[in-house]
Parts: sequence; C-alpha cells; structure tokens
Amino acid sequence: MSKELEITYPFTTSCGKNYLISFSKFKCLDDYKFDLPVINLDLILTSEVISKDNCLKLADLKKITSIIVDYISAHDVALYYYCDTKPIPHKISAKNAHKLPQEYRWDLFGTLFDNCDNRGRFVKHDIDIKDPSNGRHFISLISKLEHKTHLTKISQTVESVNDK
Amino acid sequence: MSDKVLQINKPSEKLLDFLKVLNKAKEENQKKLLAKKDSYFPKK
Repeated sequence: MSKELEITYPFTTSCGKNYLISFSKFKCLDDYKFDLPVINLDLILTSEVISKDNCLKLADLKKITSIIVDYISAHDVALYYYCDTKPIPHKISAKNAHKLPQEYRWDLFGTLFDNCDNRGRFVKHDIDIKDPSNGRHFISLISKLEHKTHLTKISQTVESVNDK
Repeated sequence: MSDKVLQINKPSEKLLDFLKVLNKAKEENQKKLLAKKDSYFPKK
C-alpha cells in the first residue's frame, strides 16, 4: 500500500465492470486545520451499465472494502464516505426495496466494513442529515482507533456548523 | 458498528451549504478521473 495520501486504484469486478476507487484530499477543508487530513472516498463506475444484472457481487464488494481498510490502516487520516444518491443500477432484494439508494449504500458499506474490522482497529462515526430539499444525506467518517479524539473533533465541527 | 451516530433532523442553511461545497469537490474529482479512465484500464 502506497504511503501517498491521494491515490486511485483501478478495480475490475468478477464480471468485467471497471471501477476506480479514489482517495483524494478535501482541499476545501484546509481552513478548518483538522489534526487529521480528511480524505474523500469515491467509488466510480467507469464502464457503461447495459444490463440490470448485478455486476458487483459480494466477493467484489469484499475486495473493494479490503482495499479501503488497507488504505485506512496505512494512513493517518479521517476517511469521508458520502453515499451517492443515484439509483441502484441493479435489482435489490425486497427486504431493502423501501430504502433510499443512499441509505442502502450506507447500510451495505457499514456491514461490509464491520465484517472487515473484526479486531476493532477502527472507529466510525455516522452522520444522517435530513435535508428538506434534497432528501437525506448519509455520511461515514472512519479512522484508526488511535485517532478517535481527532475524529470526534471533526464530527463536532459538523455539529457546530449546524448550530451556526 | 458505528461508535457514534449524529442525526441532524433540522439542518441549518450553513450546514447544507457546507455539504454542497464537499459534494462539488467530489463531483470535480469524479469528472477528472472519468476523463482519464483509459489510463487506468489499458486496452489489452
């Protein structure tokens, strides 16, 4: 795993769809002078979706999650994961059909991440914002356990922005 | 499992503007990466 903070990994699923897993710095947060750099996680589908079949199998999701876990293990950062609001490009189970796309992604990522973190090495703060104009926003902030205090400060900053 | 869940039911304009700035940065990053996607997946 590279020590570079900004890095992009190409990933091809078991059925040949290409994704980019990108870790990039939020330069717009520089003024906040957080003790940890806040790193934006993006998962970008670069192949065209031509079928409703699920081309992101559980094994693929586990591999993607392990890339994310390896990144956080190797870097002293706060990872910012904002769940995309675009419709889920494949059929989802009846159990999850009532969920918003972003909520579905949030739950799925949370479950996958927890399964990868069976030794409790990380700390995760979730933020759920009900926006009257744009639906709900689901965000996760993750860092190594040793940075829990710094992560808490970032969460508190979000709360303080809301109080202003 | 989450160590903390922050639920904001009445977001302020300032918080929603803050989110917009972050989302704009994400969007720009995604556009930049999509523009050079072929460099990550060389044709065989």
